[in-house]
Amino acid sequence: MTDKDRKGEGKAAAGDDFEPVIVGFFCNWCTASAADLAGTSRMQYPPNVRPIRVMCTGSVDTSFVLRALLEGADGVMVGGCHPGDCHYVTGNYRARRRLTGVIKILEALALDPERFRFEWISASEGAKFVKVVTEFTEDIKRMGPSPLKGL
Amino acid sequence: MPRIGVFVCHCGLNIAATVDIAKVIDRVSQHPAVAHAEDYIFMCSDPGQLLVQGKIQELGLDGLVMANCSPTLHERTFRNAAALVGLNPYLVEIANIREAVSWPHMKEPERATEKAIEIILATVEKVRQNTELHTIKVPVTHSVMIIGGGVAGIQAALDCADAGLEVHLVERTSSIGGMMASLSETFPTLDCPQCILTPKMTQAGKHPNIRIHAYSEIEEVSGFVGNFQAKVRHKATYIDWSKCTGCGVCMTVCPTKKIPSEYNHGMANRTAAYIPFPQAVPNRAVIDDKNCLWLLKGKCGICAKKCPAEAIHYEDNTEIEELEIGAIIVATGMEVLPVEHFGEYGLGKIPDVVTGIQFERLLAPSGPTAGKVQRPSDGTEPKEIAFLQCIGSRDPANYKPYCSKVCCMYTGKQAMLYKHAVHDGQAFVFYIDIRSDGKGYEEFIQRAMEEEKVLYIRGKVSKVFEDEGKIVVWGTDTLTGKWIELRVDMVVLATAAVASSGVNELASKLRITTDEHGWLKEAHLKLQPVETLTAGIYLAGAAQFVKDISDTVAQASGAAAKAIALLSKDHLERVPIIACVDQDLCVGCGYCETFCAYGAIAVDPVTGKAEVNEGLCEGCGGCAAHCPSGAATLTNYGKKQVFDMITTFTNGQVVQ
Amino acid sequence: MAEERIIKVGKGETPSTAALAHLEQLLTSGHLDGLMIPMSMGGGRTFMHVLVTDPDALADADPFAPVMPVNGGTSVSRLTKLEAPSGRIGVVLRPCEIAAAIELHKLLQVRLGDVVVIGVDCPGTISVKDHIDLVDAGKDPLSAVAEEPGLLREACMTCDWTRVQYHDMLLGTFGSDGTHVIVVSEDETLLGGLDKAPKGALEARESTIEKIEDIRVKTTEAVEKEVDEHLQGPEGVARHWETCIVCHNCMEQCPVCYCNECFFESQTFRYEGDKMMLWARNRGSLDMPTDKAMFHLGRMAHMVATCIGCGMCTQACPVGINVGRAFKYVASRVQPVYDYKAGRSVDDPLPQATYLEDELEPR
Ligand SMILES: Cc1cc2nc3c(=O)[nH]c(=O)nc-3n(C[C@H](O)[C@H](O)[C@H](O)COP(=O)(O)OP(=O)(O)OC[C@H]3O[C@@H](n4cnc5c(N)ncnc54)[C@H](O)[C@@H]3O)c2cc1C
Ligand code: SF4
Ligand code: SF4
Ligand code: SF4
Ligand code: SF4
Ligand code: SF4
Ligand code: FES
Repeated sequence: MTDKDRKGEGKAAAGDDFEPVIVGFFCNWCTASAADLAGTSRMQYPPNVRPIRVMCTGSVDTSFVLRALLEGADGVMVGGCHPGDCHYVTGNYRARRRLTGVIKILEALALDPERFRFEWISASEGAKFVKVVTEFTEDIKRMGPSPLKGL
Repeated sequence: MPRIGVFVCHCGLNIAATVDIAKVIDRVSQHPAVAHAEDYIFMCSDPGQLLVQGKIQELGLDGLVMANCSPTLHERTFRNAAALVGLNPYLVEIANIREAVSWPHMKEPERATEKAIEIILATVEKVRQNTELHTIKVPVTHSVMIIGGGVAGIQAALDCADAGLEVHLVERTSSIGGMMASLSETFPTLDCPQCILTPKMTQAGKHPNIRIHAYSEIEEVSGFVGNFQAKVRHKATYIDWSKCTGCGVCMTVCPTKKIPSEYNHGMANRTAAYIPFPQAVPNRAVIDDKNCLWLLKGKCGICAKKCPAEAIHYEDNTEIEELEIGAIIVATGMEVLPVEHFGEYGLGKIPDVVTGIQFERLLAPSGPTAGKVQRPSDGTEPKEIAFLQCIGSRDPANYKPYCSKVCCMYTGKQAMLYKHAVHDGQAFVFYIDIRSDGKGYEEFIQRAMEEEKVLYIRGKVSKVFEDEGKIVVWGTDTLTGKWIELRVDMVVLATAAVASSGVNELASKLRITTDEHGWLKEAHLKLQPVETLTAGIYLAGAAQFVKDISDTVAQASGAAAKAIALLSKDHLERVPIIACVDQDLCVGCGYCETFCAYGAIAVDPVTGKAEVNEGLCEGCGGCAAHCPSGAATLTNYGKKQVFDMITTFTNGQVVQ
Repeated sequence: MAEERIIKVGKGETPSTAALAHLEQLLTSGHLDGLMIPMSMGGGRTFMHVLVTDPDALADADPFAPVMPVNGGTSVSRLTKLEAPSGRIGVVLRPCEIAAAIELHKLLQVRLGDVVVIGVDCPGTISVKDHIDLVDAGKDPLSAVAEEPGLLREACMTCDWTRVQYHDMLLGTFGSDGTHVIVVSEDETLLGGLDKAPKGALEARESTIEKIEDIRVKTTEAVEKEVDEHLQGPEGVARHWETCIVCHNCMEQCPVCYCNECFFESQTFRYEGDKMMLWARNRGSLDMPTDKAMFHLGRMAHMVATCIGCGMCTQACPVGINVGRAFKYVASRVQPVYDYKAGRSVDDPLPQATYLEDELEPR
């Protein structure tokens, strides 16, 4: 199977069989652990999210988000420690400022800002992780394939 | 082309029941950078590890992707295994296909298999661009600085000193001892501080490994774990401590006598030249420059004339001493909300309304009344006393939302001690709940109620006012719903405990944090209660949150143990995943510097380029994301590495 | 206390030559050791900043030159970044150049305190190309603009900096009907010999500023309306940059794109052939050079919070894309989120250099 066939799922038109590609940047200290907890607890959620473990949301570059969206992700999610709980003290506050900038750019130019989601999910919130991922996958499915791909 | 080995674990059936392992092996083998792909039932088992090690040697693999459980479980296992056969451990990465794939997608085996393949391929992209890294070794200074000389600081100092470390105990008042030195007797054993604290203070004063920096404060702290540099300000005492013998003549001759004594919490006065209390350690006098007539007006000078040791010289002898420090323990303790508050309960207006800590002084045999309970207003013996608990605590609307934890117990103690002193007296306690959850604590309170006949009233007081020499207390008994009016001789308020004044400034000098109320923040409330998020800085005692003496001492020994363990080696090893800066690319804008919570990266004023302090960098990667030009990077988390992972996830295999 | 003085425009003089005479005198008297000032190039076809130390070399200078090929903020950065020159250097800057210098100061690329900022009232500039065309056609650019105000650059017609926001010395022409130039400064050495400003001069300047501001706000609204209609959504964005050749000139000329080497020119954006084949296959085709949108949006993410709306990007674009329109529009949507206005004050911290614990929620 070629990559094109395989990625056919991402390319399918909006509809019941559209399976979005979602890239998730998960903080090592919280959301990645929440995902581990969800897995360990055998909670089920859609497999669309492809996780990238980062040391802290503070290390999520604006270019990571844009790159993912422009390269074909139908959604991008960043999950980090709740305000006040960042392992590196203030990384999440900084990330919130920085990535809010990206959201505002997408908003200003009507480039589907809803395709980007930033959530606080602590290590103990396996259930929240599942809820957020499931909802986000549903939302993106409803929106259909991203028009930003290949822009 | 790199030679990456991919090892896929079945984890029994945990992975293999959902993920089609054969398909995974087939697909990842097609990646040109993958030299070998193999599966095994339990990769973390000894035979599994042997298999991996064998392949590394046999095939000369220069990178590994271990597809198995979460990296929190076996990243270290496989990195160590690789290191044993000569493969740099930082060339080993985990692809989590259990917690992130097989377990949460049990009903969708096909899509789970696809996800597993992509995660593995993305990890291949990352690992092929990883570089070899070597643990950073930093030498350590075998000394500990303890800030705050309460019982916590004293205990930690003794523990560290006994372990052979050089200890600097920095206390801002002129004697160590803290809050405990002012107590009458201590619950639940009713030991007096003179019996149990004084010996420890003396021991600390005499210990060859302990240097007490009394009347001193922290000016500045720089450096990092194992290698802090501290500047300690020895405040001006105007008395040469190398000559002062602590005889106290200056105190007896000093004409300025009406200064409220801090040690007695305002229940007695002191002079401008003073030793705070007879058992003070160090037993040295200081001159309070805000009150000394000579220093203020150039008149008087009597103490200098009378001092037999000729120790007094009225010169500002402030001195800043620089210390090399390996670890820091912060034990700055607590205070109670100052008297300016609680006017509604008559505090500061009615002389016979006092705080709990003030009442401790009235009960203390060493106190201004020599342990006789007397009303501050007229010196008569109060026959009825009302104790009001939770004043300012558990009151989010007006004061503090938290429970101050020690008040239930010390109120019980004070009521009991009052009864011991005034046999025919009556004590009333207004409370919301009684929290007596320590060893012997509930029994202690029961004793107060049953043996000492202290009357406990569940309810809150609405008003306290004076009426014909009596103090009237209005309240409601919430158990019966009845309105209550008491006419008593004294009222004691168990006011909320708060973090020590100045702790926020201290915390920012140390690069540690406080919560919204000023309590110092621990790394993890449950599992790292004595660590802070800054390596090498620990917490002890009430500075972290209100504690009684037993908990304080336990935590102090805990913090000491952490410091001792840290400094037990000659070198500290640090994970080498840290920031680095491409000096050609860096334009010196300082964005990275504004990001770093540890001060680990900063623009050098001479070169105009950012530089990373390897000892301080915690490896969060934030500076790298903040740097627009890509000059700052986090080792093995390069932008291209992440980009290639993204490409795998959005387009499939990066290189055909 | 700021002193308000006046330079009289004598017979045969223009505000430009009168102000220049004052500046020349500052140089001659040694109150300034150098002057960075727009200087005519190619016989008045354009004007570029030149660092002058010899008063005699000032003949072709014009503090009010109606063209801005390079944002002077960039030049001040070149002048002061590594090590500020010794001596007192006066730099003649328009408000949007001051705005750039303010941002660059906070980005440690300019040392504002090491130069004497001579701010000038700016009625707007003409694009370099239009200016050259006018001169080549034998026309006087200033009269041409007077006849046809639409000749001004869009950035100028929508400029937020009508009132000089920071200066050590102001050369004000607004409200003066060509008879005088207002000089404001707290530094007596820069005012030497000038008469007190007559009653009403500053009020007249103020009311002119208000009028110009009013027009500029209206023009901004009109431009924003066009953006709302045309520069929206993936198609709108693609259309706006359809002819872009990804030359990165907009970034090169942007004063607040200050990097030694732009991230978007780094090796991260150089790809193996197979990777491009992969994209081509998955998308059906791949635009070359690659990463057009990545560059423009990524650049926005880096610096739109500090975009001061000078429009140098538009002027620099070889294929005539109105880059500045997009950036300025997005900036006006992004900066308020941080309660920030780029170029306003050296005291406002850069949005990404700080944070508040309690802000921007819910996300
Ligand atoms: C009214 C009252 C009665 C109590 N009764 C009892 C009892 O009966 N039994 C019991 O177990 N517990 C009792 N406690 C609690 C007990 O006082 C505390 O547990 C104990 O004092 C905590 O010790 P610590 O060393 O952590 O802090 P502290 O005793 O507060 O000592 C902190 C020390 O740090 C110093 N310091 C502060 N900031 C700085 C700085 N920036 N630089 C240098 N030095 C600094 C202070 O001067 C002080 O010496 C009582 C508390 C109160 C308020
Ligand atoms: S990686 Fe984090 S801790 Fe290290 S220098 Fe950068 S911001 Fe500071
Ligand atoms: S953010 Fe980047 S360019 Fe700016 S000083 Fe830091 S490393 Fe250098
Ligand atoms: S993006 Fe354009 S308008 Fe904005 S500061 Fe840069 S050059 Fe000026
Ligand atoms: S786009 Fe970003 S990296 Fe490039 S010059 Fe501008 S700020 Fe620097
Ligand atoms: S200057 Fe014009 S053509 Fe060049 S990159 Fe910018 S928008 Fe594209
Ligand atoms: S460590 Fe989780 S967001 Fe910073």
